[in-house]
Amino acid sequence: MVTIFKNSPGEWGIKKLGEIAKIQTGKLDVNAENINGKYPFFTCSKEIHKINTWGYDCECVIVAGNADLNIKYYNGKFNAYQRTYIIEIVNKRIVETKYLYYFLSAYVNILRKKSTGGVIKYIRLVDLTDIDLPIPPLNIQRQIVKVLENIEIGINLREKAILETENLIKSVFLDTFGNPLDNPKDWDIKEIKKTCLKISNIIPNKSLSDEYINYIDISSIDNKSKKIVNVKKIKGEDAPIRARQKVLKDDILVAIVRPNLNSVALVSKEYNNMVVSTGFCVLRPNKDIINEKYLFEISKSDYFISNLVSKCKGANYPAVNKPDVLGLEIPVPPLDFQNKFAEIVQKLEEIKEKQIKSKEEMNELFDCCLYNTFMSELVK
Amino acid sequence: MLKRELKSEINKLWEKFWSNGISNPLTAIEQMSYLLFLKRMDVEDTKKLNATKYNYKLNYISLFKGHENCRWSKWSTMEGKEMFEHIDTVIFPFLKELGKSNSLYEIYMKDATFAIPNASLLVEAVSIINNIIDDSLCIGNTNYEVKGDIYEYLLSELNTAGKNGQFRTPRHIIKMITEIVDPQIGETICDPTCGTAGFLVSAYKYILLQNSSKDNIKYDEEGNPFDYIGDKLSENELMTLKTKMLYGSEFDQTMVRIALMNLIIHGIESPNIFRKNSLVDRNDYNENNIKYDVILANPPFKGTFDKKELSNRFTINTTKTELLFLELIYNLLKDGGRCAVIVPDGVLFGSSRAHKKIREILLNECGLEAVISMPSGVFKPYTGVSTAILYFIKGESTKKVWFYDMTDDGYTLDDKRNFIDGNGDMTDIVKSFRERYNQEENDRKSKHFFVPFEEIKKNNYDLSILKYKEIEYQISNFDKPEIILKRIKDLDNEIKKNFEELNVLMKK
Repeated sequence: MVTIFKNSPGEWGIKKLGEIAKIQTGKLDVNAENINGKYPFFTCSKEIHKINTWGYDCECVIVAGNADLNIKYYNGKFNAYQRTYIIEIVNKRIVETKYLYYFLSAYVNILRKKSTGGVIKYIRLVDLTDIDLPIPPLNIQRQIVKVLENIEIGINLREKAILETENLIKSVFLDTFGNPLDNPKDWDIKEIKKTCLKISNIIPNKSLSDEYINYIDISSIDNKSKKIVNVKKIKGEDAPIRARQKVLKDDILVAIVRPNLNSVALVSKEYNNMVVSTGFCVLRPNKDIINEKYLFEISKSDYFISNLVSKCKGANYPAVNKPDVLGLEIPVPPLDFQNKFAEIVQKLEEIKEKQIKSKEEMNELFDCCLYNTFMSELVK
Repeated sequence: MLKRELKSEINKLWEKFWSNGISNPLTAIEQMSYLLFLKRMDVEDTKKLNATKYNYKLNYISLFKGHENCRWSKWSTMEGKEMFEHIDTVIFPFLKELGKSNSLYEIYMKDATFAIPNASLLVEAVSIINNIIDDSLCIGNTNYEVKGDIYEYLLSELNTAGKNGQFRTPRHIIKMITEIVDPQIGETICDPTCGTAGFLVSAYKYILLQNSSKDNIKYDEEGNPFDYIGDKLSENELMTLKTKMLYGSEFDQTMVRIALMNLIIHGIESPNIFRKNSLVDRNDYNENNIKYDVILANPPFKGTFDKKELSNRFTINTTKTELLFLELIYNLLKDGGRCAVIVPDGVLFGSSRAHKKIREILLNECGLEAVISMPSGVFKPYTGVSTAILYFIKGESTKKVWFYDMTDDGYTLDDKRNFIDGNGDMTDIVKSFRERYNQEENDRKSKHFFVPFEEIKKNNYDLSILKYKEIEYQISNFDKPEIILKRIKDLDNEIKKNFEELNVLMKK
């Protein structure tokens, strides 16, 4: 399967994209979308919107004229926003549309570097018509497309598998303990603070003013993966007034601002001893009563989120107080039940890590095949 | 070169203005300018009267004749409440009266209103001004420099765009542009959209510095020259510089006032600043349709113009202000005159007929010497539009254009614009520009390079640097597909094994 990439692209013909394709722009405003529409509506965002009226019916490549200049492929009836370019191959016996789609996906990185403009980066029609498109024989094009499609399917399957693994964790939780909302298995009920240890604030030490500290604030949490993603390194003297708590491994961070976003994270060992913002309620599980993985699962549950949301104060800046979090009553099953659950979660987390790694490798493979195919042609 | 105490005092004053309900820094600066103006009137008048004492030929009649109580020295020592009353009921009417007989005061005081809301703020402002013009705070034998710096520091507070989209061009960019254009003594220099007169002040200081002997220039800790007086210039030349070289016009009355004050405080006694809308008023700065040797400008590039209002001098058919100003500037230049102007990126590649026509004028009727592309953050927080500097000479022909890709101006390019080193590419730009013809090679991958006229012409006169710059694209080093595939297989096998272990766990 890999042999085609050893073909020397130098023997392929080259034509200007403007010569072999019809390029037009969409005509609609973004607000033309209709959530319940029948047809896809392509705008400059990665997401595909919906619309009720179609304006085009063809096989084409769609390029976002501004924002992140993403590339999409579509075949059928659709409509498009005025800042998108719709590229249609004139003679499909020379170039496959899907081949052009993959070529442009590689080319987009160069476009991004070339994109002009101030506030929003944008590309002009001439940037597209001027592109030199390498044109291998049709059978080679099809081979390239096949390989890349195959890898894309592999990527999608892995994405699905990752989601399923996440669902499995939730499902095992419910299956083992029942929904915390109605506590069907009649576990003991305790306030969270009865299951956690007390934490005192640190007073920012002036003597540390020249040293760098690792600081985690609410924007450091990715609320999709429920992980700490970017720790800020700041000088002690520049540390914000909110940098007043230290965390340890196995603590759980619960953002008390906008609880509907559920920015929570379990502190793993690489974040041990870091400083966090007072915008978090830090839960430090008392391990004689509660297992951190069990408590973390609770903190991600609908029961936990809806309870906090109902206690929100302030419309523009919804937030709860720490006592609201600490006072929440939760079911506390016997510890060995919790520990067993934690063991399973641990296993599933390992699987998920590998699935993510596998997906990343698959992406790498895709890029590798894509660039090896086109790059020698792209960079002159 | 400002003392820190003075800066903090000025900052305190802004807070006072703010807490007293004057939240627009423009208004605050305007009020401060009136007071500065009053103080200066007194000082200058006293100087002239003293000169008359020793030289009866001068025959100078005091401005304050019959109005002695309008002298700063007389009323600035009053009690707050009394002073407040006095300014409102005596001084302002007196100024307006003066305006009828004196053109500078007339321009300056048109529609002037006293808007300081209470006595305590007034006292505060007056004491700051007494400090500003108090020589004890000034270094060296001239104090214009320091006064000028103080005024510029006042102006630096203007971090909001005015209602017509006008804003203060960052001073370090102005300085770089001035160094590229290199104005000389005796040349007439004009800015048709002068705002706070930053370009004119910069040109004035540049000429003084160029004409100061080395021993007479001091440098502050940051290496900025100060305290130079242009000692190589003759009395005559100095007079010419102060009275016949700098011209500006501005549409907004508040800006006119601030521009006048800025020049006055830098030692230019009666500046040639006119209030007019350059695109509409047919008459030039005087009836004789004067043309200039040098034009420095950052014209507004916001909005469009009503065709009906435009003067009928324009040959390009457009309502876009940035294009109209380019044609206006071309018309204002003498043959052989030089211009550096800041334009929004659209001017460089816009495809409308007007855009193309203006670029053809720049390349065919002028020698377009340089296009310096600036990053899009330099005018933040006012606007994030990306811009370029065009430098051209009227009446020559373009053989090749020098491009520079500026990516850093020494400040962060976000809305905060924090100081990094205050310089970035700027020193390199001026140096590379001056040495551009001694370059050994012409590398399209580097920060600056030449592009021949023919190539630009072939590309529809497109002047965007990205059209000609070659981008180096690094392909990351991928492993061979076979190797990646093997890794994926291994992972998938491990995942399988994990699931088997999990099954065992779940069955327990």
